[in-house]
Amino acid sequence: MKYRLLAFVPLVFALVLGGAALAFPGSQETVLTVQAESGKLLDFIGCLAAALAFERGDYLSRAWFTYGSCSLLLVVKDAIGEGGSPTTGLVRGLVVLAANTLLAVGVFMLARAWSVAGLVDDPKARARRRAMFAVAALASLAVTGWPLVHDVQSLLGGRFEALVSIASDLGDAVGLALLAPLATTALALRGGVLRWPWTFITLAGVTWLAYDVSSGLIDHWHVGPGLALVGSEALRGAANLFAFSAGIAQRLAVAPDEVHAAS
Amino acid sequence: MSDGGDSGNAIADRIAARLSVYLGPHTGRAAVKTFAQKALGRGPETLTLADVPALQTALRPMLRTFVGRAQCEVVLKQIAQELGV
Repeated sequence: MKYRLLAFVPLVFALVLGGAALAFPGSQETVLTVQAESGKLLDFIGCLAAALAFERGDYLSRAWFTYGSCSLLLVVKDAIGEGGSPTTGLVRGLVVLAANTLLAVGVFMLARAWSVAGLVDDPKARARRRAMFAVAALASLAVTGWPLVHDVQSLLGGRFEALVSIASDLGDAVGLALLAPLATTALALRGGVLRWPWTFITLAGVTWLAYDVSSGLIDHWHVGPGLALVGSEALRGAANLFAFSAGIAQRLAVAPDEVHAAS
Repeated sequence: MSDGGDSGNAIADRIAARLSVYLGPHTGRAAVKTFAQKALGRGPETLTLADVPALQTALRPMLRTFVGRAQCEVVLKQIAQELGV
């Protein structure tokens, strides 16, 4: 039951803050900022809770801490603020690069847990895993390919701030392509308590995919404040909160009383 | 506790059932099969009580990865207690 409740946390978070942004148009920017920053902080807190559920040096402790550090660095990037000197812009770019590198490495580590554990797929499961990876890689290419080309062109045109977007595009590309191993791990763990963290982290990735698509469309069509922007930001908040739920579910799953509770 | 499945061997089934709390019944059974083969070179249907320590040793890296070192030892101890080894 407690795991199922965690599934509703991202939905409630997105609906409440999205609803508030629509209900108070004069304060929409403030509400969306609160949503974005609190979402990132909760993302980090959830992942930190997961990391601390293990002992130092345990594989998943490192994986959760690496994954969650991305959100913390993005809060730092937002605190630096936009505009300012070229040096500030460079620092922001480096922070975004570091954040996206940590995200990609964290997702990669979580996706690899199955093989690190020494578990072996049967031929049918192996075929399914490969097929899902191919589909996810294609989806990743479709979603991040065009923005990446656009940002590389900007960089080649002398706009060095495009580095921030390129780092973000590459992080998204890796994260989305690795959705498949996360989803297949969640599927393989069905019926066990460990399915929950993997299910939630997969849902975080799917929601990021939806956010990337929606924010790309908003940029393309130059959509201003309103329903589309609020909806897109709600997706970002939900993605952060699915990572929060994943971290809390991981902590609950390896809590010492879990075995007794399930016996 | 979740059903660990039916390998035709009570020892394998008890271990799989204990693992299934975390891994689910399908992967719990698959883990016993994989690590019985790795540690003993035999299938789970051949397990005897004398094989349990070797199987526990083989399961340890997998459990450490998924539930951490501390909880891994708790699970292995419970398996030993359930089987009386």
